[in-house]
Amino acid sequence: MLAIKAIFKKEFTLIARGSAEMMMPLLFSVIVVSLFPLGVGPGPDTLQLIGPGVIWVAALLSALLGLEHLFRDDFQDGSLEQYLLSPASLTLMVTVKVLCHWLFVIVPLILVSPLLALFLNLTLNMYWALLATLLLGTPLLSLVGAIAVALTLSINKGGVLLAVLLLPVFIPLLIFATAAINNAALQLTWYGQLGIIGAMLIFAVAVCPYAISYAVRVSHH
Amino acid sequence: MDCLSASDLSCIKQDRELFENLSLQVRAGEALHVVGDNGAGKTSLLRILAGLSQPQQGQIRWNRHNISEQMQLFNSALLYLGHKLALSGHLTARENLQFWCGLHQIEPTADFYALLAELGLTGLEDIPVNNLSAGQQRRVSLCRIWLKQAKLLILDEPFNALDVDSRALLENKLLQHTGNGGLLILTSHWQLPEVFNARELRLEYNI
Repeated sequence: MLAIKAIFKKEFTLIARGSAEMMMPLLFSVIVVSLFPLGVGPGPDTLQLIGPGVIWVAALLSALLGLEHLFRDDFQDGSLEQYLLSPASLTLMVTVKVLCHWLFVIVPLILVSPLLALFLNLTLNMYWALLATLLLGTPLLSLVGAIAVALTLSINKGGVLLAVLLLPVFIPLLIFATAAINNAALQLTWYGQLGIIGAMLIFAVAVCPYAISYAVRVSHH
Repeated sequence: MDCLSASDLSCIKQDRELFENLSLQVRAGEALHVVGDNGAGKTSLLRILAGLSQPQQGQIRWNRHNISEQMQLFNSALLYLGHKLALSGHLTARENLQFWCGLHQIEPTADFYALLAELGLTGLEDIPVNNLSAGQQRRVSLCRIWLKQAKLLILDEPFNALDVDSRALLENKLLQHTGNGGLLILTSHWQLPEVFNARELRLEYNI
């Protein structure tokens, strides 16, 4: 319990101290989405058509951008070694770390999503679908992404490799999420797609913590 | 009686054999000083003994049981400080130590301010660690020896960047540790004082 509290407090302090890198994902996605109406023209129908895809792609890329820092800083200053040497369970600790990352980096993105939806002229119905898919889909991004981050720790410049490894894995998520929002646009039911994303999330929650802790251990050998 | 023993350890890094069939034993109250040239495998040996990396061959036992079978017990008896300081640069000295205590599930009994003052860091408690000098950062990292009552200390070059006074302070603390029946394994390019009665383990650099 002490360890969980300590990790939470540390991550929160780091964010509150405003290391700019942590705000990058949020800024990145807001900038990307706000550039689209300027780039493709302000036609409301066109924007509505491309809106779901644009927001989701922006969310995906910005999540990748933020993931870099999940373990790397701790790996470089040696704190991660101390995680391994703690009597508390490593699986639990890395899960808390991923959860912190989601809460402090991704949730702000979800909070500004009404603004993004407004930029791209999404209807209220589409917005609810967007919100639901983001809420279920982004924890999946963090959990699966953390495995890849942990595996590429010992490679100094893992950034590009990370994108190459992860983006193909996230394609199904992207397809189902945008399909759900498109269904909502046509006033159709979109619970099916949401169910599939939910199933993927539940599977990830069950498996990923063990995979992450194993990957962290391996990268210290 | 606590005892750390290793038998038949081999370590291969980048196709180079650092050591093979290395056996050692450290008992309560003993100090082992690992010496050798740069690249001879001192750090690798220490990381293997701390359970951070796996040897190609061989076993490490803590009180007659393999350490991988009793990770939790071994980790609560162990304090390992590597040559990376494990300090987060954006956090202050106090926050770093608080975090570390939480991570290792230690209820801090000592007052952080008093402890930092003892190590000559008065007035620097609430400054981000990035703004401290190398020696001061090292001293913040070493505070952990005072915070955790570990039975087994494994220290990688603990005297690096320390000034003469802090060096004496650390030596006294380590002496007190072995005097109380603790085990000590360290690497250092400095000669340890006679009173430690430290055994020396020399690793050769072989190509």
